[in-house]
Amino acid sequence: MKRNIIIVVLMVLAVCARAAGNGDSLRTRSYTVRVNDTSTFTLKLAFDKNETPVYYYRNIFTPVCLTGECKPVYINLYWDLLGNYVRYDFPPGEILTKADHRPFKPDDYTKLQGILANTSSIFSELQMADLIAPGTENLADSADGKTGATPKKLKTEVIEGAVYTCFTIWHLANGPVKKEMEKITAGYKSNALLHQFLQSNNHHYQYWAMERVMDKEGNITKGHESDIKYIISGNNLFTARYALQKAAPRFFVADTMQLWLWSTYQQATYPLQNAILKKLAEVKMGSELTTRLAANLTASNNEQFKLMLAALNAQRQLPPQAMRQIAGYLEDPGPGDAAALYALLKKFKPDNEVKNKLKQYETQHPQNEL
Amino acid sequence: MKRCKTLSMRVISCLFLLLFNIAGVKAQQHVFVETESFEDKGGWVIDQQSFPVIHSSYLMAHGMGRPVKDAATTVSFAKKGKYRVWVRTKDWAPFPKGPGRFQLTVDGKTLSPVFGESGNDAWKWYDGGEVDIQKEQVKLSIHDLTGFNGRCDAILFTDNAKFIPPASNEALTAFRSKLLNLTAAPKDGGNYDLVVVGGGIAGTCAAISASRLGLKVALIQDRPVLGGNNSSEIRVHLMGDIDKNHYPKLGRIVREMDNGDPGNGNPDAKEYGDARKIQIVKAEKNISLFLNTHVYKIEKGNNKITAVIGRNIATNQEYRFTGTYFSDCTGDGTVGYLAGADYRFGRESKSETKESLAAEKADSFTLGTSNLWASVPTDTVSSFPATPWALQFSDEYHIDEAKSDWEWETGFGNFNTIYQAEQLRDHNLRAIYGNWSYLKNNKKDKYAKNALAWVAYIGGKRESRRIIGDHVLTQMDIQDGVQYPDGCVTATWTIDLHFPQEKNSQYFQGQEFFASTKHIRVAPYTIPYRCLYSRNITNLFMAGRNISTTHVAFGSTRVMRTCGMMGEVVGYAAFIGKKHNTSPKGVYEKHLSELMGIIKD
Ligand SMILES: Cc1cc2nc3c(=O)[nH]c(=O)nc-3n(C[C@H](O)[C@H](O)[C@H](O)COP(=O)(O)OP(=O)(O)OC[C@H]3O[C@@H](n4cnc5c(N)ncnc54)[C@H](O)[C@@H]3O)c2cc1C
Repeated sequence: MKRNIIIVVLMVLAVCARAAGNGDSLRTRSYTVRVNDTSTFTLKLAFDKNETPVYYYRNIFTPVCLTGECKPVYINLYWDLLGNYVRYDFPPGEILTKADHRPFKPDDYTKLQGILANTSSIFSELQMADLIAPGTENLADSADGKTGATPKKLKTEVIEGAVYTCFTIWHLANGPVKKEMEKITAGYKSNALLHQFLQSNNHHYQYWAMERVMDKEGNITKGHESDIKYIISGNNLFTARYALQKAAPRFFVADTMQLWLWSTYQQATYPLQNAILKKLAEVKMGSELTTRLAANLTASNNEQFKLMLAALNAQRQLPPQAMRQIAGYLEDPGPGDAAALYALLKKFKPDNEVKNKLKQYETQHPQNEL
Repeated sequence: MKRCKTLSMRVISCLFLLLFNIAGVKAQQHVFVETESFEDKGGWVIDQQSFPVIHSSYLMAHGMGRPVKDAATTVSFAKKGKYRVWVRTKDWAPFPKGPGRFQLTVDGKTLSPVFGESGNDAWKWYDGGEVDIQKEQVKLSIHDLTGFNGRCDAILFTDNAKFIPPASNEALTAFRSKLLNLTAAPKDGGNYDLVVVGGGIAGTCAAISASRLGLKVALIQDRPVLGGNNSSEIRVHLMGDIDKNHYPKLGRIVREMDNGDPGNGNPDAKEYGDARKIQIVKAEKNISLFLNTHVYKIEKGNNKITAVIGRNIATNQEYRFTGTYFSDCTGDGTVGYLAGADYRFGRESKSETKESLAAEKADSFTLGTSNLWASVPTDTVSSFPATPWALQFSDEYHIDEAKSDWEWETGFGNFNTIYQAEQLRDHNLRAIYGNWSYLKNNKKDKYAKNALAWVAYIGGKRESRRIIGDHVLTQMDIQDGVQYPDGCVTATWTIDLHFPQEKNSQYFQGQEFFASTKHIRVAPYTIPYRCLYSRNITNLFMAGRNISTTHVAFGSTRVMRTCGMMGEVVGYAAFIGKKHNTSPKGVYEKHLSELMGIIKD
């Protein structure tokens, strides 16, 4: 099996059928994918009742050859709408066998799923020739090392006696066909699909859709605001942080948004909390959020104290209530730093109460300490 | 000042009576307890890796998420009455608050403060409140609450309610030394032909090689086991070939050390043969083995080391070892550094070394430090707590592995191997526990029945200082296969320079913990003897990862069988040096043929 199949032409065969191999009766559409001048294969896209695309699949028949001897493998592969491998199953009556014709055991099938789902598998770096190259067994094993196909590494990443089968199917599942699926899916882009993607918990879908509902400045296409909020408050730190960082500061300006952001902050993991605090330095904070931030200034650790302080420092004005709150910490800044609090308060227009606290601080910390 | 008798030799709790000169200030009683000297360590472990920073070892509750057994000791008080208790600790993972919580029990009463969750990762003294001491001997114990690496350096009792123990490192070190009576002269550790510091594969082989030629040797190692990275504390397997040797005689001792290949991070500690290594050394009548002894000071005159001072990592007893020759096999190049040997840290630039693989600009980038770990399948389902203080993972990014391999690696210029050894280890722990917690709680199908069997708490270091010798091995030496007349140890490993794995960098920029490498294959080549002694400290040898190479060449020389053979050569060279009463350099200049003769025969 060559790694670099070139998929040249994509022909749409608007053939309607029922999705195979999964029992339910979804409508499908077939696409003919040209691999090279002489061969093509059929890729199927399944739709749900509302005519929304749901997944791709392919009924595969492939020979797996090892030193001249070939055996047929029948298997169905399934992908999500962006061509990420999801699962496999078999046409009725088909199984996989090992080199000595023994059938796969249940554990082997579980392991196979793990192997196919691993996009960074050692197979990605290998050609079939690497597996059968004479001397493979003599390669020094890693010192540190993943010296390509070290026999040991291969052992943990493949099913013994079925290396070629694993290799062949892995490349079918993770090969260039992915790009073709992405292209086909792009043709189905609609608001509904974007909503569905953003709310999906599939991070591939979410990144793909975010690229399409947010412009360079981070402005969000009308109607998708709550989708973005869903991602920011979701439990994937990485998509949450990405959405938060990418969204234009303007997105967080309304009072309701700020309260929402604060409640998100309180539920968030530590790294996301820090990302939110960093974002706040770009956002014009209303008095409600400012006061809450001020109230929590010394509640956490020094790192978050600094981030909160930076957000407060970036504001044009601080509400008096927040200033008073901050002045209250001058005496005991907890994990924070009184001098930094003092400098912050000096920057804004303090009321009398705050002025008094500042004076008190000044007497306790003579000029040369300030 | 008066030194008070301690209850047991091993308990360094010392009553310190400070008589101020100023009239009217009453004498104060301090009782200083080093946790590493506790009589019963329970499930706590001794960590000495931060000695270059905090000048002390400490106890740590390394329970992999299960609280460990209490550590306990008996402390003597000369005077009854009220004492304020101070506890020196830190919050090792203040994100925002770490998990290393523990409490202190004095005479059966648990003090109310919970330590280790202050949100501050600096080592500090924390007020433990007041206790009323009504007995001469009082039981003191530390009680771990989480099993997640809470740590405690020392405990101070003072009857002066206003006394605040010193905060700065220097002041505290002085205070500690006084209270532990370390200002007194160290015990005599003996006089040797060769003093080998560092009992990794390199140091152990050096000691054995010299001793078998009749030299009197001290082998000083700061852990309870030998083998360094190949010990069960770190679990790295031996690499580098010994069957392609230019001089087949080398590698014999390495072969004895070799306990078979269990891979990296094998969950079975026995596979690494700690006991066997110690037996082999103990069978050598010319070797005096000093385990648990950390060398931190040297004495010298005229660019010649006269003695090294080591401190026991548990009792804090100090020893002074004198010798004719010293061999720096610490990996960190500590002996050379202390003696003022020329050394290098980080990468050289291309323009400096002319190496194609060198960095554009010189910098302090080093290969990283690893804490390997392994889980094992069990019969029953087990749980693992959430770890909000650790690195965070999700379905999108996590490491889907039941055990580690070499790639679990932190450093790469983000942290200093020597001075941030604690942060490096802690970052590794945050990666391991965060990822494991993710797998256990979100991938139950695969991991519900797996349990952590082992997580290293001693960091496995790859690269630290490199002591400069009369020759600095380069990429060209390696790739051109230059055979110098003093070329002795044959090396076969690839030039194997790690960098943060791309995907890991994308998710954890600046906090990478997973590495990649490119192996650049080499034909077997030899390392010159001149890389094995210091160019300016006249009686200092080196063997192991801290020999005289460029960063690029180190990429190939550092594997352990190769390091072991360097040790073998150092042993031979010390023998010839002694025979002709000359320096390591003198051996090269005047007796090279004799040295090569031993190696060849
Ligand atoms: C995760 C990992 C994977 C690796 N993979 C491989 C591999 O597969 N194969 C391979 O061969 N190599 C591998 N390496 C590299 C190799 O382990 C090191 O280069 C090697 O350990 C160097 O040996 P050494 O004896 O010089 O130093 P070390 O093994 O570091 O031993 C030095 C010893 O000295 C002690 N010591 C340090 N300072 C003092 C002091 N002041 N006083 C007293 N004692 C002291 C230390 O505790 C330590 O035990 C790997 C390294 C790591 C960390």
